[in-house]
Amino acid sequence: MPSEETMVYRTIRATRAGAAAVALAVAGAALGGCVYDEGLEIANLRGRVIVPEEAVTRTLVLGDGTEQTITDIKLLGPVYLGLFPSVEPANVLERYPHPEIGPQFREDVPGDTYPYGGTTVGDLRFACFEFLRCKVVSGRFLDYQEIVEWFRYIEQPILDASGAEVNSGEFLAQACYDLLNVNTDDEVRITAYEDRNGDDVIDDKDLDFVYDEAEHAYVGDFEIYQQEMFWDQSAEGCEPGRDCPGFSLWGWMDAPSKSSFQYSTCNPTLGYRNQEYNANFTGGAAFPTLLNFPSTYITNDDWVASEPYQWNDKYAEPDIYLDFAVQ
Amino acid sequence: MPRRFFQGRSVLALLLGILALLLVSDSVWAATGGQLRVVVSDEDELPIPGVNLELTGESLIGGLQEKASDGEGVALFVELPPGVYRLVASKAGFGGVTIEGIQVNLNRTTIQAVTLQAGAVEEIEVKAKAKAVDVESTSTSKVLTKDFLQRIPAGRTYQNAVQTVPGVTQGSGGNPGMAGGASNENTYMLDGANITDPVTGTFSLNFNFDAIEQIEVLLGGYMPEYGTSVGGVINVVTESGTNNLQMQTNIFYNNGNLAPKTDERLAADGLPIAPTGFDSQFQTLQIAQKLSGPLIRDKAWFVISYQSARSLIARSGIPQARDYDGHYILAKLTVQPNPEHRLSFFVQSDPTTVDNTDQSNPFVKAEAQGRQAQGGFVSNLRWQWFLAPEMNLDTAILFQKSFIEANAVPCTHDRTRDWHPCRPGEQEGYVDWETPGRVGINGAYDSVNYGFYYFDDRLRYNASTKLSLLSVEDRFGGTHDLKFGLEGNQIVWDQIQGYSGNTLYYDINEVSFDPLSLQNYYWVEITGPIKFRTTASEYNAFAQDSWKPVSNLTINYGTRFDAFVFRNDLGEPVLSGALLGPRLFGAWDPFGDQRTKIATGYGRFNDTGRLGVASFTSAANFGSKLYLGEYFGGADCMGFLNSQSNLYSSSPKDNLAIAHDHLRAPRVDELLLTLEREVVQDVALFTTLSGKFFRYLYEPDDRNLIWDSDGSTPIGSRFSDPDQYYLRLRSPELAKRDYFRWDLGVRKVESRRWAAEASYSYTQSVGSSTNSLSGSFANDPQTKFNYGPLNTDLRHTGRAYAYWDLPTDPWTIQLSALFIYTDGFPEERLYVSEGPQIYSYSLRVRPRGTYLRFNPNWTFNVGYTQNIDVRKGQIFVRLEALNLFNNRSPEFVYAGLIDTQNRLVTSQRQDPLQLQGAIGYKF
Repeated sequence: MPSEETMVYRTIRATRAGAAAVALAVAGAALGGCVYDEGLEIANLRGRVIVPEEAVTRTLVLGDGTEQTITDIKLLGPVYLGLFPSVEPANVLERYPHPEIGPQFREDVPGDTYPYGGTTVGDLRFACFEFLRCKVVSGRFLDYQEIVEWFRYIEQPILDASGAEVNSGEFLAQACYDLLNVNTDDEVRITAYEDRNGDDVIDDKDLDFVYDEAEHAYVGDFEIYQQEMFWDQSAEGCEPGRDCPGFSLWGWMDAPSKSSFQYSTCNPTLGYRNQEYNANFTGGAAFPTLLNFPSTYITNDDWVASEPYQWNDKYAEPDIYLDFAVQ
Repeated sequence: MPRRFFQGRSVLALLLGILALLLVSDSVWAATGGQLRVVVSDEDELPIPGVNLELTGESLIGGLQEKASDGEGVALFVELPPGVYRLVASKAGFGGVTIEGIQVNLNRTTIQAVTLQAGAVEEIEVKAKAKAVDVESTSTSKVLTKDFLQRIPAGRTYQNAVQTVPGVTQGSGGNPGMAGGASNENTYMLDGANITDPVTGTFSLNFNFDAIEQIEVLLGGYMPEYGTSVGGVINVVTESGTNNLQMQTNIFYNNGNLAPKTDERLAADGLPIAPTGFDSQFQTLQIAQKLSGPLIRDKAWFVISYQSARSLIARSGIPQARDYDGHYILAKLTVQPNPEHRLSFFVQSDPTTVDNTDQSNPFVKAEAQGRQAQGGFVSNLRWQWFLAPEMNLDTAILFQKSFIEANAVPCTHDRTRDWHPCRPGEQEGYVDWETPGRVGINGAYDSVNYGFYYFDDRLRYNASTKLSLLSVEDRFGGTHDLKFGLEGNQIVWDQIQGYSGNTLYYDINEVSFDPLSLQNYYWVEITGPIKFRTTASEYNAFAQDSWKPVSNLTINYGTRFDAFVFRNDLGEPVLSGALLGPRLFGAWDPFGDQRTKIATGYGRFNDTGRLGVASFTSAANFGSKLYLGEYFGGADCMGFLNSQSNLYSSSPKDNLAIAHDHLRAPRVDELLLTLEREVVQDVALFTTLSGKFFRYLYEPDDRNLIWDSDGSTPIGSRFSDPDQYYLRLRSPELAKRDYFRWDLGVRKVESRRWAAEASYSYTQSVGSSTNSLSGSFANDPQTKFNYGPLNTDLRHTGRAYAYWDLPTDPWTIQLSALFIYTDGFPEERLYVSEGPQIYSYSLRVRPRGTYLRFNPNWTFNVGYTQNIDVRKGQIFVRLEALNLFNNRSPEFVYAGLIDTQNRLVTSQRQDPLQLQGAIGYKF
């Protein structure tokens, strides 16, 4: 390699400028690229659902012919909450306030509501025996013994795979553990399994709904995860997130059937698929179009929200009242 | 270099023009050489200028290099091929000094002090000593030399060898996990060329282990020239030859069929992990040959290397062993016709077939097993132009092709093998492309034929150039090593895939627990092979400076500029950007005695993406028709009808996935602090704190389905189409990973025939995404469980190695040991949703990574080598025991599966105890 030191030093002047430029580039790069706006308004929306006491009050006719009126959270079925473009207070098609619907494409099926989002409070849950298909909702039972006792109380005792009556909550729990290959209640997610209110006790205060004496109602929290916000920007000059009208929160509670204690929002041909020996059945699950065609699934004795909540501010934590009984 | 080149103003203007251009861009080149800085002083430590320094080395093509020390007594030798060198220093009036055994490593500056005695007449010969602390390096990195690689018992794979470096873990699929990156987030370089698979981000080539000269393992703090890896960089440099004709032949046989085998283990919380059965076979055979030498002495050297790698491994009671048959070929030519120019060209190829690819399902008949042919080649032409003693221009062009072909195993009439049997009339080696295969579900047999075929070609065209201006003095007495580079990449990914006979049947057991009783469940049809091509263009530039304002302080700073466009098969740009990646790191030797280093700094590393991500929105590979089989009675089950309107239910006609308009490339911000101190001669303590913050990883969400509160069942659909996901590729703020690591260790560099290192690392890796497209955000309510310890959250890891050459000259015995301990990794349990089966989505019911943590996983390897000098060369015999204590801890668990005994199911455990024997000859 030749010794060209003279010429190298000539290049030094140039490289000094280069070093300065490198330093500037580093500083510029460090300052740049720190801010990134994905351009999406996405938030976890929170609020409360309030269900009046009357909604979970029912008169049972017992086997001996006597009538008994009870108020129990176990009569509080799954609550479906949807975010819709708007809700018609006096819907011409339905007997109750109902989300606006689009064109009807199929005969006998009302138009789609085109929901923006939604969630539930309490989920239809397969409770491990075919007998309980479409009859159990999470967040309503303190433990397995309470499930057994409840169905015995409404005179529909639980039957196991062989048709024998289930008398023990422990037996039901073990059946779930075996069927689902799990070890703990929080994996089954039917009963109260976590100390939600932080009082170091898992009790009925840790169910989805808690009785509020002041409201004379059951109150439950809901959270709609990762909801993309939409605003009606047809109003002139409105700014989304500030003064444009947002979407409407509306929902209903699916009350259990008086005769079968099944839920009309549950499709018995969907859900967990059991394929052991001759016990082939599905466990039941919610219909996947509940929010699109709510009138298909809302039946008598269900309770809907008479006043939707217009969600303009993603930080609002509204209450929604399911105060309209469908008759 | 002709003198006239530098004597015109026009030339200087040209150089300035190049510099200006390069300052707004930059190149992506890993170093393939090292530097030697010689500091000459007298006995009073006063610098001696004008000392003649002659450098020779076996790997130094071009022959002897000669320099004179400058006014500071310093001389710099640059772009030296890694290896061992000999330096002769002489000056009239001083006694000469010869220093042997100077080790020059990749991307390192070896500092060699030379002390001349005034008036001495005798020449002194001394042996160079390795430095325990590299006081100028700001990166967390390590160079694995050839000596190290040959001695350490790591199973002859560089993927294993790099795990001796703190911060490197096993990863998956032969791709190590490095510095918090996923196993597909590393960069692999071969002789300076980026050979990372452009689709998957994994390694793409196998090569002869014996041909490796050095491996540089970089985990953090590295400079812009090394590219954009958000994990680590493995920079492999192969041998280039010498002036001596050398030949080496090695045969390695490895047998893992050894008893006892114990593999049922408990996780840390007591939950058992189901036994996997034992490997019914575990044998590997490697035959490696290498020939190197001069074509023209000092001017043209060649290396030809070949390795055959064959393994037969049958797992979990699978009757057909996985038959891996690889051939790794390297041909390399290095030419240095004069001191100004060095040319090198290499071709590396690794054609491989893997028969009986399915080793996870015991219910696969021989005729339904698959073959994967894979491999490819990379060719690289490189020109190094030494414009001046401390200035060079490094230019290269590269073409790489890799391929994967998957189809049925060719049939055989050889009935002694439990291989795909030929039917009467079929020729030996016949591959059936016409007969549809039948896939068993729920324990039924895969039968009739392997049902898929897949052809995949990946092409990379690359050109790059780098200008280095070294040891440039500034007005304040400091020096700069400036580098500027430019690079362009064009990448093409072609695929053809389909089903044999355009149909694939799925069978279920007609009788429970009888895998032979097949009943058709459903079948899928396509109209013909699905073809598509995706492409990418990348343009990169870098500018960096290694500034030494004073002799004991090094400040490395620079930035990258990466512009890229990744397109789907419609030619639509999916990923694109123009990003800056600044780096600023410094190393300080506070006492100036080259025994202490404090290094710290910050760097940003941008992930420009992979074609695997860009193809998220590709249009092909859709439109298969689903028919319900006899199991369903033909119609109206699970919401499906065998009618035209429902036929596409399981696979839409078009890709419903889109990419969000405002994607941002993932980035990692890294903070580093390293302390090293040589506490006694050749022994250093070191500690490193590393924090890496991965942000904006590519993840899709779903725009369509509205779920119940725990994400188990959809209750509505925004597109009024509840049968489909409408995914949207995003780079959300929530898709992130935070990685913290603390290393503490002690190393003893090689001296007195032995070296050792032991280190402990504490690691936390918490986030929502193990890597891009992990699917964490496809189900909105599950977001609440997304954040938690990732499976790279290994907490406590330890590693130690030692090797010792027993002084039994002329024969040499080498002993070595390697111990790696890894804490149990966190695992999550996934639960089947209760939605309709088409929505079957794996659910978490608690935060990620909090279900359990596995028991520790550790391995201990030992090696013994006997070198025997013979008349013309050397014979060696080597024995290695890998996993000496036969640990069989799980390496992977099916997160969604638990067996009927309530045990977690694993498909992969540590390889069993293996004994490896080798014999070789070299001259």
